[in-house]
Amino acid sequence: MAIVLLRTLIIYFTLLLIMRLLGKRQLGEMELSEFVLAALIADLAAHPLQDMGIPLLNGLIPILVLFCCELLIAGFSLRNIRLRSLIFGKPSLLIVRGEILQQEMLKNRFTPDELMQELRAQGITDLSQIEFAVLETNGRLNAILFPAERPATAAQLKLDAGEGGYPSIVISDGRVLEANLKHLGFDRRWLDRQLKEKGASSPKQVYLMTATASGQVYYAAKEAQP
Amino acid sequence: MRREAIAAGLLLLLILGTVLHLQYTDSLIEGVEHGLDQTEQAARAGDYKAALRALDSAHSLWDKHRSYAQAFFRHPDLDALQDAFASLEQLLRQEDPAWPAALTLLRYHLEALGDMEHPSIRTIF
Repeated sequence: MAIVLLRTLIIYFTLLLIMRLLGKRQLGEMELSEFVLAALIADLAAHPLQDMGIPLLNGLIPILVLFCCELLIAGFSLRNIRLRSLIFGKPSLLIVRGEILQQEMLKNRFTPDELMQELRAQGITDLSQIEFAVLETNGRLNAILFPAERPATAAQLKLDAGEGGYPSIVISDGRVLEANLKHLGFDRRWLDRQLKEKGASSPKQVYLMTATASGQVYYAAKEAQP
Repeated sequence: MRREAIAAGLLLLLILGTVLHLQYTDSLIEGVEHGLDQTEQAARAGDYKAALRALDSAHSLWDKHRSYAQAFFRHPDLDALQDAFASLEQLLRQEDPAWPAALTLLRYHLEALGDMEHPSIRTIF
């Protein structure tokens, strides 16, 4: 039993390290090589956990090899367009100026039902609104509406949208994140003023507080404990 | 570019490790087989005590590398090899004339361990 425990820990932390080193793309939409990697790694990792007769290295070495191959492929395809097209393919236009390209649909084995499903997921039910629909290399369908169908922006309506800014967390579950506060250009005195305005006497009463550089604040107090 | 260089380096290291492992395994198996050759010679000459000593020497050589073997070889294969050693030892102690078959089986298990580490059409597919 100790062996199972130790093997599981080793495999788990190795996978965690590998996926961390491979980057955020593995966690989001996957390209073909990334999908292959994820599928293989999961299976490879399970074998030494299920069968104590298999050496642990029989699971770890293939994982390392796949990791190296993925890094090399990703790195070289980043620098070489032809290689990128060869491995990942090219995006396909399925709709152009409102017209469905049926040959492209056939080539990509994309049915009308699937097309409608993907468009509905993006809140689009009227195909006549779509200028272009692109089937990306990661399998995701992106629709671009005709300019007249796109939601109007504040700039187009000549409205003042106010200041924007990137909200950073300044208090998380009662803990003040000093580095973020400093990065925004604020100090504890500013924070204490904000807390006083919201009726809090201490950061420990705050569940979440975010702020932008322009001073916009989002505040959520902690719920009373039962 | 640094990541790719590290990945390429790691891959080369793994390939180098594989080559070294093959050389190490071949050398170990050769050593054990030499011991088995001496076992066979002594047993054929009727000197079972000498045969047992040679077998024990071969077995000890294998045992010295058992930790390494367990890290790289499938454990059922290692268990089969241990069983084959034990069977041959028992037959030699009893001066049983069936010892050649047991020796052949032991050699088979040993060579199979080595063969499975060498890349070939048979082992890859």
